[in-house]
Amino acid sequence: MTGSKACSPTTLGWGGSAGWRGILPAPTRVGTGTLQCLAAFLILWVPLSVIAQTHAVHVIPDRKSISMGQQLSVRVVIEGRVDAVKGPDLSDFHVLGKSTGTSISIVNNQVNQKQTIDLTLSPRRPGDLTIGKVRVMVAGDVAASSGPVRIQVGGQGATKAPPGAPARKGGAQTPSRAPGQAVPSPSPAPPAAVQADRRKAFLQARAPDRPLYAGEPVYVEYVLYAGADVPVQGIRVETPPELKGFVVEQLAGSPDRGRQVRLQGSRYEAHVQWRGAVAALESGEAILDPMTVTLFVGDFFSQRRYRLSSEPVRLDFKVPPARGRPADYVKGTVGRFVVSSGLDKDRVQVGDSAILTVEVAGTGNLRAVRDPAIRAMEGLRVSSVPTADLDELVIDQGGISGKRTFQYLLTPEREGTFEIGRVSLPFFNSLSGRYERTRTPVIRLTAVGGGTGGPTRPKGPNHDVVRIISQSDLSPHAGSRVTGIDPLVIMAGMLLPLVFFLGAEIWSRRRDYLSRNQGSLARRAALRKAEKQLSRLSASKGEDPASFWAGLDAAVRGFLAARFGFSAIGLTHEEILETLRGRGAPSEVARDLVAEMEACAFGRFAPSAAMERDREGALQRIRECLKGLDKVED
Amino acid sequence: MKSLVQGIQGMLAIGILFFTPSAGAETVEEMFSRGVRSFEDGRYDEAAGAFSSLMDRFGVNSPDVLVNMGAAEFSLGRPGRALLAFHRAMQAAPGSVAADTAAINAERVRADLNRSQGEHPEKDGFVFGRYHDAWSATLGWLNPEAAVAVFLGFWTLLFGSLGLRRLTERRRFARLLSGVAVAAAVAAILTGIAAFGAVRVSGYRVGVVLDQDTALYGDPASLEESMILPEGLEARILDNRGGFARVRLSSGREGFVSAGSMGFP
Repeated sequence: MTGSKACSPTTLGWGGSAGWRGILPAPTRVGTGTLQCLAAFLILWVPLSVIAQTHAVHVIPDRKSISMGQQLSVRVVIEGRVDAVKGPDLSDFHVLGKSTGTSISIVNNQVNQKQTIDLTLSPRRPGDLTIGKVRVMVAGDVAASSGPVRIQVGGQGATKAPPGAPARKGGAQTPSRAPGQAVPSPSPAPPAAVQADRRKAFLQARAPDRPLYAGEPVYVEYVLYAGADVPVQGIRVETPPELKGFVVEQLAGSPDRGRQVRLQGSRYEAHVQWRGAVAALESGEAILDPMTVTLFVGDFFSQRRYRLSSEPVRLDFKVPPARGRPADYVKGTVGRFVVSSGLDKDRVQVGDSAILTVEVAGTGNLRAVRDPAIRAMEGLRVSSVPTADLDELVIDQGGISGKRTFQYLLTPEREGTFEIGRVSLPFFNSLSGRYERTRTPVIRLTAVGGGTGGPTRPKGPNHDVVRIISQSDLSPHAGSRVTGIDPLVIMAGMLLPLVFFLGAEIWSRRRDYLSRNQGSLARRAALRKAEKQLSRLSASKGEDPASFWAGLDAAVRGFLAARFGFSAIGLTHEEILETLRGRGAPSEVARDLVAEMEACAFGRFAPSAAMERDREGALQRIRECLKGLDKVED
Repeated sequence: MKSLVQGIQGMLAIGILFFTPSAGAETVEEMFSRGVRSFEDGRYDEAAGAFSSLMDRFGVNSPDVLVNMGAAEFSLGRPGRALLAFHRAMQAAPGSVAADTAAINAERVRADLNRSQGEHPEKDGFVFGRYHDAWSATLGWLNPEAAVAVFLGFWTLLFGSLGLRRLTERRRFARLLSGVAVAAAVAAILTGIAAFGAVRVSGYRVGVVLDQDTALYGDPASLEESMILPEGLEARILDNRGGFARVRLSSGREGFVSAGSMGFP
């Protein structure tokens, strides 16, 4: 069943030939950018001496005996880094699906790589069938090999090939697979061999050579075959297929770069130009219409173009038979499915919820699968949860594969064990041509009581959900408070700081202004200040003569100091006169003022009755002099 | 003789009318206890009747009665009216035991409405919860009065420090005040936004859809509803006039609902 063979140490490297292409990913294809980064890291970090690996290959079927129409799961595990994988020969089986995975582990500085390939197979015929050897190649040598695995196929219909299985045709009828390629590509249409006979290059639409059913997603590809000796420079799609009458899901991604195939003994390079899943809307005949491409052939110096079109291919889509159709069969559920279920917890408190997950996996028209009905029962609420984002559907050579996920919230309302039963899904198996049914095991959910663990008391609907207040003094709105904020309070609270700031700003600006313009302000205020002093002297009529005339003299000198910026103290009257003239004062006014100052001196030190009588006159004259001097420009 | 008998019978009748205790002669406390007992015994309609009488006939506006009224309504399968009563209890006495109980009950009612989706297809696709928008989601937890007080504090600090900075003649002190002003300005902006949001959220009027399959109209003059609202959905009331309430759902969708189908706490 399994086989392994020790191998010499190998080196880390991501190159490798494309053996078993299509099933076993070559190392370069498996390694994503992340994987390559990891490899680079390992190269830097791990000494080469510890990279030594042991190669092994295991082929593990889930059972060794099946009946016709049943499916067989086979896991191929390859340990260690390999350059290429050859085999197995699966000519006795249909390959219904495949998935691959790679894991790298480092234990005690030992790097271990493991590739896993899961295959879903269906036997082509009854009898003792063989899954061929799998050989892994390192540096051109066989590093490890598994033995052939025998599968006994019998049971119902053992002597009859499944209706869906294609008749085995000669090698001339079908393109031979690349070495190690185990996935049966869609069989070519009959003209393919003829075309291969006559032409160096041709375009061909390919679809599965088996009974097809309406609604079933069918993998279709348009392949350009170019002879191995044709120097292909490029291919340009001119007219893609229209595929009217089909629901089309084109497979994203770039077409193949070309793979080697053998047709009627000749070597060709196959380039896939279009691929995807198509589903016929109705039963009957449908046509894969032609596709046109331009093939560029030649070298750097000369190039030629060839326009190639595929032949239309007729497909006959049947309707699943009415005979044997289950009552709960949903139209369009065509394919091969397995349903499974699981509870995130099988024991919950009453009122809590458990999540029931139902998965439908397989190949076929998964989109037609409806969410299974979960039987509601007394004391158990069932509600569905939106789970469209959990679906994983991919287009592959089986059509559409993947899984649909449905989730339900189960909420027990009483204690006990709820037996939800089995989830069952009837479907039409397009390979066996029969209606089949897949079921889950019985689902059970146990609900226990609340915190006490005792039995719950059914008091009526929703009694436990809400609480009431049993004791109350019925006081109106106890503890209530006025909610809301008075906008006036907010306004006042915002305005007061602003007012303070503005007041401080004004005060500060005034202070700065005064300090900057002290001189000019003093000059401007000189006359006003002097007139105040004169008015005060005028009001004090009974003042003694010495004080009056001294005050008058001080007012004049103060005016001169403030207005003209010089101190008259210590200057003679002539010097004052000269200074005033020098500051631009009119001579007459300056002379009059100096004369009045002399009169003041007389009044202080040699008062006379005439002068006393002339106090008001002196005040008036000095006012006039000061006004005249104030008009002098600065 | 006959008239004497008739007179005695009349007297007896009057006496019976006067001295027989009335069936409704119970205190409000007794009526409250009766409602509680009815609820605990599962007679929710009687409980609702007792609590309703307390409020409508006797003018008892205790939040405790509102809480019990909501519980009874919910148990009778009227989640919209239950939520309305809980909202009223929360608004009547915020911070009280009754308000806390009402808040818990309201959350449980919403959870029950969400959980029961699937059983009631007409409620599927709705999320039952407190009304919230971007403001309430981010600032709904803030006490608006405290937020405004903090904002005013920073506002005062900002302009106080700016004013003092202008008044002082000591350079070091002025520099210190400048730093304080910058920090206060940043804090005032942030707390201002928070206070604005908190005050805005506290001013939301939230209503509850009372009737199942209430029509939401894009225009009050429209005859075709743009959406069907389930009972118990909470929405913000933007305006209420002409028999229609303009509402905004948590999804941001606005429309008009017949005012009779909405409960206004």
